[in-house]
Amino acid sequence: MILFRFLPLFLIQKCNSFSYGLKNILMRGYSAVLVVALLILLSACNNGGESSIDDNDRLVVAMPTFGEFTFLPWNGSTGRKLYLDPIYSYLLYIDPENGELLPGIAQSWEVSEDGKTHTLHLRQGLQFQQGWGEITSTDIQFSIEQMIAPEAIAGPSSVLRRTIQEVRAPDPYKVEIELSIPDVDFIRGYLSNGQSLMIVSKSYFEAVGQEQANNQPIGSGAYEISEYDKDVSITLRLRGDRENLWRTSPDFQEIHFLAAPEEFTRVAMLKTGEADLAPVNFDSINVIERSDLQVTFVPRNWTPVVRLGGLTERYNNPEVPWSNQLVRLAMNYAIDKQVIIDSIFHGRGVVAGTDTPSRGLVNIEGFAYDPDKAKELLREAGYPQGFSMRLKTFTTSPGAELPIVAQAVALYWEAVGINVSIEPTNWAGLRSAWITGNATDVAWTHRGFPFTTPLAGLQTSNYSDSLFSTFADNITDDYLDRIGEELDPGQRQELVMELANYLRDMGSIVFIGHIDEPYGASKKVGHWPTINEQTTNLDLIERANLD
Amino acid sequence: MILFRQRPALVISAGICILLICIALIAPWLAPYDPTAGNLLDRLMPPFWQEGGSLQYLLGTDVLGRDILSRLLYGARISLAVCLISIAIAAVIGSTLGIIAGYMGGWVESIIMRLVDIAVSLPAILLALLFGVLFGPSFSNIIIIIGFLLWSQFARMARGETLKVKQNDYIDLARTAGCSSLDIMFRHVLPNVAASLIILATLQVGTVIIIEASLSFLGVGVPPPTAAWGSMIAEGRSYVISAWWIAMFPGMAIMFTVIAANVLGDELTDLINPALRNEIGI
Amino acid sequence: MTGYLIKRLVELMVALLIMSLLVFSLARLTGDPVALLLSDYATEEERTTLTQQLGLDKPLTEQYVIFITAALQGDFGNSISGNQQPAMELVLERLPASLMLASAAMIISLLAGVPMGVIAAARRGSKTDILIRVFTLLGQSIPVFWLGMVFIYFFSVQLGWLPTSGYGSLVHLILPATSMALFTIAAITRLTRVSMIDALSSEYIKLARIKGLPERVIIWKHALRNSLIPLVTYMGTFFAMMITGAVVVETVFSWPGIGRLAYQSILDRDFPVMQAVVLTTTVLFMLANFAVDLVYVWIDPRIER
Repeated sequence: MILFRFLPLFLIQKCNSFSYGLKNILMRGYSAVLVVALLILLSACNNGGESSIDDNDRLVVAMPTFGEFTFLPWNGSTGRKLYLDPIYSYLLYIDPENGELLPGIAQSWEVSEDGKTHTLHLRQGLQFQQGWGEITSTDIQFSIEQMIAPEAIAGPSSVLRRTIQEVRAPDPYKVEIELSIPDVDFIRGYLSNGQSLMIVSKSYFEAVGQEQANNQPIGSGAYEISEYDKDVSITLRLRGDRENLWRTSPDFQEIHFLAAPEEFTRVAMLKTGEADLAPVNFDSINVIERSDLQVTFVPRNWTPVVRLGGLTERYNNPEVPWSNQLVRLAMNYAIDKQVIIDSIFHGRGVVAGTDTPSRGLVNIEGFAYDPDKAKELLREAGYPQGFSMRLKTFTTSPGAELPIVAQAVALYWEAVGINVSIEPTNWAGLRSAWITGNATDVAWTHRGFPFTTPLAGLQTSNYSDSLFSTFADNITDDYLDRIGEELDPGQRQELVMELANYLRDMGSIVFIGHIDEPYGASKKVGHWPTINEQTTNLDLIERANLD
Repeated sequence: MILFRQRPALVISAGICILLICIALIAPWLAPYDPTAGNLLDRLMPPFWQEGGSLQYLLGTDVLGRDILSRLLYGARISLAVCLISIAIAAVIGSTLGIIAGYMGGWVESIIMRLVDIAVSLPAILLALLFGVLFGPSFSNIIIIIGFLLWSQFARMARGETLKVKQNDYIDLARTAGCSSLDIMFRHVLPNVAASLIILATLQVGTVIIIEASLSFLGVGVPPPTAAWGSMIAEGRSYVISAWWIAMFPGMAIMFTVIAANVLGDELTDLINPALRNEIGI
Repeated sequence: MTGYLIKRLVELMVALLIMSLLVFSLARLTGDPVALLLSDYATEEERTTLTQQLGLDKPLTEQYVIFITAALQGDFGNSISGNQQPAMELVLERLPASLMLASAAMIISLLAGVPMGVIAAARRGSKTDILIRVFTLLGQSIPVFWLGMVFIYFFSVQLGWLPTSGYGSLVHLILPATSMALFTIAAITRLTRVSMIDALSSEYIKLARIKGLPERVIIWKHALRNSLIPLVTYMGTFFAMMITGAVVVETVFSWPGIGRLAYQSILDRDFPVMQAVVLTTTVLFMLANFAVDLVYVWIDPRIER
């Protein structure tokens, strides 16, 4: 239909362009008419005016993409958390100051002796937005069941599907989650705002159906949806029923998200004041600081690494030079990670010995820079002249610097005789090569996430059953099984450290560093309590005192 | 000398084009550094005349501390090679089809020309992107993509010119003398349409360089660390404000080259075959 | 006319068939959308289930037949990612933004290009002519994304006159449309100039001069009318190029057009959306060329139908 509405415009324009030449005397007048007519046509397509909210009360956030076009928590990627988190609430929260667990919708919680039954006691009287009623255990049950439904594709849905046996709602304020395998860290691992289990209203969902719920989310957070223009903007405003604000009382009346795919454009938006907050690249920091702007960092929020293909049972390739542990160690020793951190990442990071900046793992020591040792190891491994290899790279957010890291790594490897040819690719291309077994003879730059528990991270990369693992053997599988079964937190942490050290010593991947994530911010943005673990907390941003 | 007085633009633009080719050929001797080797400690240095710049790196360094001047000189090689090879491929395929269509006429002609019509009316850039993402960016893939984008124009022009040549008596003579069609097409038609095709090719140089830059922007350009002008600009895209020199110098190199090639094409058109202007249109 | 229409229709069908085959097969070669949908912790079992759900486990020929039969009934399938919206709906949602941008760029190009071409031809060899030529050379030698960034830097960041990016009001349209137009302004100027020069040296213009018609009328009426034909020929191509060539501009200016949708669908391996975008643009291209033909006949009825 839209096509037909616009076709005439298209034809008119063609014909006009012609007539314009014919009407010689009236040419000026005619073209003026033409322009005016088109202006009217074009402005007719406008989507209404600006909101009446004072500029000072609005926070404008520019982000590269909104991801999938859906507001349903279980239906898309975690990249959407930036705008979903202010709308929805979580059962539990991670304290942005110290990383401890804070109550959310759940007031208290306990784990059974065997680590299988997790009971949550809900806070009473919490209300969904726009009069959709009180949050009760059936909403929790419904939200979890959606997350583990076969068609759910959100980050943790896969692992939850495997571990959750049953969700029960014995009374309106009590939820029991029964696991099929014990996991004492389950609550911290999957129910906090570090993950994606946001609580939706069951009655709303059932009343309006999936299609509307897709675009008109109802949550219990501080902000409710006000306008949504697909791939252009999302406007959230403070919920109308202020008396039902419960966890935070944000300073900003409105958060306005704009999609701006290009880094340059986001920086320009910060400079012109069109945006108050935007993720930026490290090399834009100087420009931003030179203007009347500031840069805030989410500390240690990602971990650039180089993964090596062919090192699991599923994707086994004994032909690659790095199937030899000595070669992997050499590849680690050959790189001056500190220089990479100091130059490319402006010193905002530490040398890493793991692939995830999860709490407890950040302190695993990385490899020193020792090119001579690298050469010696290569000689010992039977590659005195080095070898040739392919390195795939792509950008992510955060992680715009990955291709630069790839080239820097290639330069260091070149120096010890490893000849690297770089192949730019994209996330989808790499992932499909990965799971189809076509990435066993290449290495690729990648980014490690801050997982809510170390176990979650290690399971992803180092468990033989995981499709996306890159280094797994009997030892890692055994460790992971034992960690899962271990009920004592202290013992568990010890096993985690043992495994992490094993992975480091094996040179399971090429480690680089744990890096901060920079956001450019206007002077309007005050204190932003933030911690890694993907807790974006826009509702906690304070407005700066501008006087 | 006379030529210069009559057509200064022709001589100057031809001179610039030849100079560029020479630079590309002797880049290894001109470039002060290895274009792909960088020093992270010297990254993002401005050109020498700016504060913080040094004579060590005349035009500054890029994100990996590689010398921009060296990359620019080596980049000339890659960019010109992409141009010449892809245009050559497009010209060979396009002209062959065009000459066959023009000379044979009949159903051969209508099939070929319908094919050209369709090729012109397809959203080729989307297919090019798809192809680029599919086979991954590499030097040879870019050449294939660009060749694919250009061949139809050569086919159109070759056919048009062949139709004109066909009316000449010597073609009839050759035919009665028993020359095969293939013979006539290659010996008699081709030489007579070659001039026009060369002009078209010259005018395509600019287009190719711009396409290469756009493809790089979309991530399917010449892959790093190889220096090509288009990929250099694309690499500097986030640095337009913070380190303008990364994208500015290759941008200027592109501008110069495209202008020189276009002027040369225009001048050649005027000199050799003024009637062609309407057909090329640009 | 009927014969002409049939010929066009057949051409459209063939083009659509070729495109559908090309997109379908190229898309399937680029990789597996399942890889992107699976979460980081996924297992082999989940992968199999998902592949079956999307119907990607069937033989390729069968998949193609399913796709083409549904497409003929107007059903292009649902987007693979997120909320699984119908693919064609996604494309049609974006189409207005694309058409708006392309139309605006086209209008700017014509308003600037034709007069410049006419003036350059009328004052051939003058300083104005040289100036215009320099402008056209510059216009065709700057990559559009680079120009867009310079525009943003200059007009938004430095001068603060216009918004950097976004979609919604007319002011948002100015920078992207202008950066997109610069190349076509140059092309149209050159085209107009060349054909005007030809027209001005033709017999009937000489005749008009002898008759003593004012130069202004000769140039802007008689000569221009006759030099419009080559311009019209290229119009269809230009317009179509603008719709798809806008990927780059749409990225720089955060414009929600189909170029970006196409690019994103390629990156995400979202097959249905990819197919819908490409086939829609093919139809648009064909329609543009068809419109050009109609205008042709209108200008000069002698042209064969």
